[in-house]
Amino acid sequence: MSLLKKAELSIAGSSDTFLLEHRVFNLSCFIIIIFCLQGMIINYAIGLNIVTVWLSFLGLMVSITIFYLSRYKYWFTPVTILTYTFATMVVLGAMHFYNGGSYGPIIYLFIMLLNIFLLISQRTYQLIIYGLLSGTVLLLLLMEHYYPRLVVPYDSVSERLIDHTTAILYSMFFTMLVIRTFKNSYDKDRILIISQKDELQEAYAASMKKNQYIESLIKEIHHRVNNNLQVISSMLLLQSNRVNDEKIRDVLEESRGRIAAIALVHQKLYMHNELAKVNISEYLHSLCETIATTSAYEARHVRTEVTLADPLLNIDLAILMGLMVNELVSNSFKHAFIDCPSPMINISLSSDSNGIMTLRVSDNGRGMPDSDAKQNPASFGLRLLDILVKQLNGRLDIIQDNGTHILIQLQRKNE
Amino acid sequence: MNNAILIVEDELITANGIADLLTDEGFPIAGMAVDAQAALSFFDTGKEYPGIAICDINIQGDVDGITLAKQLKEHNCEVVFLTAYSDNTTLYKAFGTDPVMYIVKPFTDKQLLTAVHMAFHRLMKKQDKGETKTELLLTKREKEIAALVMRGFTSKQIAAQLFISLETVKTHRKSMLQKNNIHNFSQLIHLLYQ
Repeated sequence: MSLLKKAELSIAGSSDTFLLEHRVFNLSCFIIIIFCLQGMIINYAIGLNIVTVWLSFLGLMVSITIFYLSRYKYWFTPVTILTYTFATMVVLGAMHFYNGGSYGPIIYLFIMLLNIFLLISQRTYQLIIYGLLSGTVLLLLLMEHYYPRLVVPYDSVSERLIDHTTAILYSMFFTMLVIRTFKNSYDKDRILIISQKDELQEAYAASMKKNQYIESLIKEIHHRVNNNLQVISSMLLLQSNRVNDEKIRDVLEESRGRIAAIALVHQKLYMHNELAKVNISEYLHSLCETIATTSAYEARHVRTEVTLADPLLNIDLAILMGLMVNELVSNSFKHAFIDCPSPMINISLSSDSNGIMTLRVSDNGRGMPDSDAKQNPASFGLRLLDILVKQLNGRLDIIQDNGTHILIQLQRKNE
Repeated sequence: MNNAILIVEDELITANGIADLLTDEGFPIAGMAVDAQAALSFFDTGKEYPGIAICDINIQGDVDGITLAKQLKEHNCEVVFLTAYSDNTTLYKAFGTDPVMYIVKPFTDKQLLTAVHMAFHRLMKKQDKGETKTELLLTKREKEIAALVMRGFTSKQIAAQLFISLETVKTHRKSMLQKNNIHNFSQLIHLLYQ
């Protein structure tokens, strides 16, 4: 690290501890201290009015105090800048009259300090600072106009030139230093942002790629699940064609129906890009259509109505619900509609404000022969239904009234 | 007339299941193939070519079912896709080969039978070239059975629907062919669609 940088770091403070504006303020105070010091010496040496020497001394004391408080006591608030602004107004305002008035360099020192204070102050205080300093300059010029005798002129042209030269060089150096500090910080931030942007873009691309890979894996799993379910279904079909017992064939066919109910959930997941949830309304509709047609009925014989606020159910719940509906609808088609002129099955799924879901499956068939079926489920279908309801901690009610009405109530858990 | 069905499926259990179902419903099966090479060899033998292929997409070998379908179409073979893939990319790619139908596994009997009926209808429409239509001689019961066949019901489902035995349905189906001097069931399907 160069000596100049070391000096700058020691004066302004480290960027780890101080904000950019705070560092610029520290640096400004220090440069003003030097300026006041050289002002004292040069003013005295070139024989300017002695008041300018004392004013330089006052400026020096104020600057040292504020530098100390800011650099070592970390006092950097809007009040700090306003205090320094007032001190500037007083010291430079008085100096104006002893430094040749508008012939001297004080006005452009005001402009330079205004720029620097505006750079480091908060947005809300910028207008106040601008008002104070520009008001002071205006006041000084008006006073000079109306009270020209207040101005102490330069003794000679060379005195004026020396004063201007030192003030101009000082202003240029000061402005350059502050702008350089800001520019360095801006460049650093920009490089950092660009590198962070690149990193973010890379990370985003990597996560997208990973996401796509995971999605393709999940889709491949669904694909394999469906393929395997097809193999199981085909095995049952092959076996079914090779048994003579009608009852066994029926059992195998029923099992194929259950497999189809599970497979349909995977199809719905796979087709809709929603990899963990299924739209229960669409699913029940498709399922019932499939059951109706495989039971030698038509889709118009089943009506489904889902009134859930959120019809997306997770895959586990959807499969269990699908299996329950499969049993009930298949059972109705198989047993309920003998000699029924207009067979109809109504399925509704609703939810109350407590999150209790009610699945209702009603048919207008001849009713169950054994009204006590729930307590003593003779058929495998009813037993399976009983197991599924228990798994969901649900409640099953069977009502016989102009057909069979099955009510299943269960709590929808947070998914 | 090329009315036999080729099954391109690398899962042999599934392939046999399909063959069983279609044989039961009176459709002739040309054979089964697990890859594109085996499938295309059916067109080299000089025997009767398959007119319809039920084609999986993910098959053995380097050539997938969609590429194979394009080659099958060149042999005037109608294609029904039967696959577990149902993502949009695969679907659009498959549609480019102008298949008769795209069925997602696991299929229902009705889906497969309806697809095969439509494939035969399309195939025979091409082969027919607007020749004379045959008036079908059918009894009331046979008409009922024919209507259910057209809706994709299996013989077993028809038996359940009409409260008759499976054997009775099969007898009616045979009778329909004999009376109308039709050699196979696919021809009957085509005439039914007409």
